Amino acid sequence: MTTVTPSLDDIEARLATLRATLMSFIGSDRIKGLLSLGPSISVLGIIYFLPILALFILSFGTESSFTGFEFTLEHYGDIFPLDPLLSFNFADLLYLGLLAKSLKVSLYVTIVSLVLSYPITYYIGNRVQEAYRLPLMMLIMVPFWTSYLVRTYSWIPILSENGLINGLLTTIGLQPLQLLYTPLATNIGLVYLHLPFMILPLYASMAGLDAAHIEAAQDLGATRLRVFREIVLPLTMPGAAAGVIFVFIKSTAAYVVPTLLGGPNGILYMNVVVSQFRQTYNWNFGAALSFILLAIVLAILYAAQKMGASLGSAQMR
Amino acid sequence: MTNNTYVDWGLRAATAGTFVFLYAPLFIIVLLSFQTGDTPLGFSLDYYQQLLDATSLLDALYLSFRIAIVVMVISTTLGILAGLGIVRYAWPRNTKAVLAFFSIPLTLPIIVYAFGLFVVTTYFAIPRGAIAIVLGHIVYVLPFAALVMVSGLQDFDSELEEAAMDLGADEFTTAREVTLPLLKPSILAAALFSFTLSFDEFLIAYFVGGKGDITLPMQIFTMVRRGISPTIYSISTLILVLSAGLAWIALQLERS
Repeated sequence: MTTVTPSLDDIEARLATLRATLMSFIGSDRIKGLLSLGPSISVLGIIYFLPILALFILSFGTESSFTGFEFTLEHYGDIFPLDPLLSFNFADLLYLGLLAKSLKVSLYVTIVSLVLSYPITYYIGNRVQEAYRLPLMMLIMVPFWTSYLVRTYSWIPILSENGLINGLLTTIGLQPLQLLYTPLATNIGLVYLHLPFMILPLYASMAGLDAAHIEAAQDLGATRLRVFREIVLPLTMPGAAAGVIFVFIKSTAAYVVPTLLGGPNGILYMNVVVSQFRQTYNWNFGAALSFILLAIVLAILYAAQKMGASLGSAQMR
Repeated sequence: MTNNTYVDWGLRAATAGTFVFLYAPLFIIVLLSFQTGDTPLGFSLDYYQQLLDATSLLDALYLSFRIAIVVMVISTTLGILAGLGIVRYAWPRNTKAVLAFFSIPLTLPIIVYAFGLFVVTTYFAIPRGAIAIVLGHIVYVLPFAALVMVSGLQDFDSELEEAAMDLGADEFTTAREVTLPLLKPSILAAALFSFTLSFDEFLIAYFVGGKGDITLPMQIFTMVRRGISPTIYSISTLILVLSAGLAWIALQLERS
């Protein structure tokens, strides 16, 4: 029974090597990366991706819980009912009809946003003195960061029955118009809310235009139209594509705008999806409807990626 | 040249028109918040006075404020760490994939996420209310905070850190005395963006908020659906001023 008492020096030496290995372990990029990125990745994984996955599983389930889960395709079948599809009774395609309506609205909104964005981004990016560019862009971005709910209903006092526009119309002796609670109001609201998503990426590519290019073309006698068509348009394509994608996706998923401005006849796809969760408690069907939308969104993103749209520029809100 | 001046004037008019389009509705809300009784162009603080008695709005304002503070602290902290991880450390190797991972919540519609969170909170018996809203807002805000930090760190001059280390400072001291002060603008920007995003967020709160826990956007949504009451103009003006102010500061910080 002889216990070897290690000398103090021994312990110290061992502690030093232990500390050194520990430090090199903690100090390694791998661990640092794990410690710094790990929390965010797990938070996003558990709180973001898990709910999306749960929704996906539910869309194939018979009941609105995961216990007693039974696989079924009936919800997707209800969205794409075969009978009306084969007999061309398209009026019976309630959900697909609404989806088509939403996609059509998004298309209009995207086109209008694109047309509105070209002059302002070209002007700020190429015509305005360098010193004013950033302040002007800030002026575009600031309202963008304020409450979208407030920005949505700020159109009510303008469009309502006795609102600003009808007030002006009656003062000059014209008949008032029904503007609020119409598809037009939804379209205006969507363009208003989403315009900056188009302006920002488009401006990024406008600012990247080389003024010398344009001047050279003009010196060689090209008309403005030709300069626009042959220089500005092709070079700003990536920015425009990013804007188109973001505006389109956001408009297709719009719920607040059609609800507050569209009125009872202005409901769009998302209104029906929301009611599956909040009114009829048909979560499985709501989940299936959501994933039809997500599939469209992912298809658009995939196609855009293939075509080389610079999505990164629009990602920052 | 006359043709060109026409084009220039056209561009100028279109730009001015777009600015009017962006600002007129907000300006009208502010104008209406100061109206007196029935005359739309008067000036009074009546609607602000009425706001003081609108307890449901004030309660909602207080709740939104508290949620936004909690979300801001958590998301900014996670965002700083994530930014450091993405820019500095070689793990994981594929930075592009990590950035894509963080961008997914920004790209996919938030409303679908709100459905998912709604379903999961029910299934795991997480009570609807403030805690569920905070959870939802953290993941909604975190990608913004992380990306603001990434862009801040990419412009960062790491030679200053090396100099501090060369002069004998250890990693901790360098982080505290050099890295953090230099990153302060980005951190503040991330925090302010996080606050406004959470403060103004509606869809997630609408789905996982409870009967007792009603945030300001939820309350405003209900009020607008029932028909506008005058206090909505005054509270909206306050919201606009607050979020526009914070966004302005944050954008300045981000660009500095």
